[in-house]
Amino acid sequence: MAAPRGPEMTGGAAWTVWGLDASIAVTDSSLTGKASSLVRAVLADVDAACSRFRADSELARIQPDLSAGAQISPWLAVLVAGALDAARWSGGDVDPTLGNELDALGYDRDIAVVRLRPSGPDTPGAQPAPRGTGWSRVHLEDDVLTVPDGLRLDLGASAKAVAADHAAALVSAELGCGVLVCLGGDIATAGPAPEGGWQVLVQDLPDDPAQQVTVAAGYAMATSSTQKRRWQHAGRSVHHILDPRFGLPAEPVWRSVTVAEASCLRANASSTAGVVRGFAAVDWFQRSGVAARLVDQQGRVVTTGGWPREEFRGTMAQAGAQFLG
Amino acid sequence: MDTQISGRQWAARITTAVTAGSLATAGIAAVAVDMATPSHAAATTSVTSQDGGSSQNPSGGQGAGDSVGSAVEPGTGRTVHGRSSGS
Repeated sequence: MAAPRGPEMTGGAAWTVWGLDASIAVTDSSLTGKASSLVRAVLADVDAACSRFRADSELARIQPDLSAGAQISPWLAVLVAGALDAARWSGGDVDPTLGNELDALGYDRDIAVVRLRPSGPDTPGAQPAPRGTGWSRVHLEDDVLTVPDGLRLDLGASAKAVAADHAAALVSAELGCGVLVCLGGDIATAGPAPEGGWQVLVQDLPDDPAQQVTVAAGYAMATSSTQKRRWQHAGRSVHHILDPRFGLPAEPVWRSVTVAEASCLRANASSTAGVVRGFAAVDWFQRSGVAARLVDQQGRVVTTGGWPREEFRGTMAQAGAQFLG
Repeated sequence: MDTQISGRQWAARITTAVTAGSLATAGIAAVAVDMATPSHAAATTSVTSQDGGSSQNPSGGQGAGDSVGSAVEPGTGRTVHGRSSGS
């Protein structure tokens, strides 16, 4: 492993993509521009392959042909394979076939647009109807994707994580430096870490409990939140993490769930599944030794699997933390 | 820069990244640092129960779960490189 770089060498850049904050940090500040370009190119490729909000994305264009099986690009194949892996790892709690259900909840545009829409008339709370398993009916054989009629793919969460993993690996391979790629709550690292390791602030909303942690080189982290991506629908506030059993927003037992894993895809699958599983997630993580941090509705923190216990009240700014860039 | 990379090449790079993570899990990458400036201890519960069983492992046998504590350690209080918040 390469020797850690000094903190004075670290560079960073930040921008907005997909309605969320994106940033990178590299161990050689002179490579910040090139690294940023590589990451942006990966994100553009991912968006063109699987955006649910673009009529010209590959996924949107082939939707009518999917029930009979359609040939797809290598990029889309990688993204679908990642989504199916996440479904398998989570026992189906992370299901990439919830596109129709998200549309029905009004999440069929960029979240900034969705939030500007009127809520619509209040509807009486109907009993949730069980929904059949979707992901196991999706088949990817080489470059041919088959999705049954009635199902629509939404690769949102897993695609973001796959993008972070790919972008970090690409930057490190192409530029020979250490890199941390952050896409919203999803963080991937590759190559050597700076001296002291990658420093990550784990905090959902500004009033939520904050913690600064060190992510080991080559590891990843993801946070799933029931608080951040919310909008009004039929007189109710809803969030975007759906329980595949019903196709409705998961019970918000946790404000946020953060997981550290060997890849961002795995971390994202576990954090998303943690939200869906609710209270049962704690035992699930603990039995599997997964390093996780769960924040409940009262702001209390539960950790599992070796996650460092120490916490701070208030923001990291109050604790004196400084941000790169 | 080669941006016309094939899916198989991408997949190989993912495999490389995951393999590197697994090696780090085995203890090759060691990061030991001090806790960042503690001010007020919050209500944190660390669950340590190991009883019972589960048929599904979220880390699938390759993740951080295989080596408790290797993926994430206390912060150093130095400059923050990234923020993990929900999207």
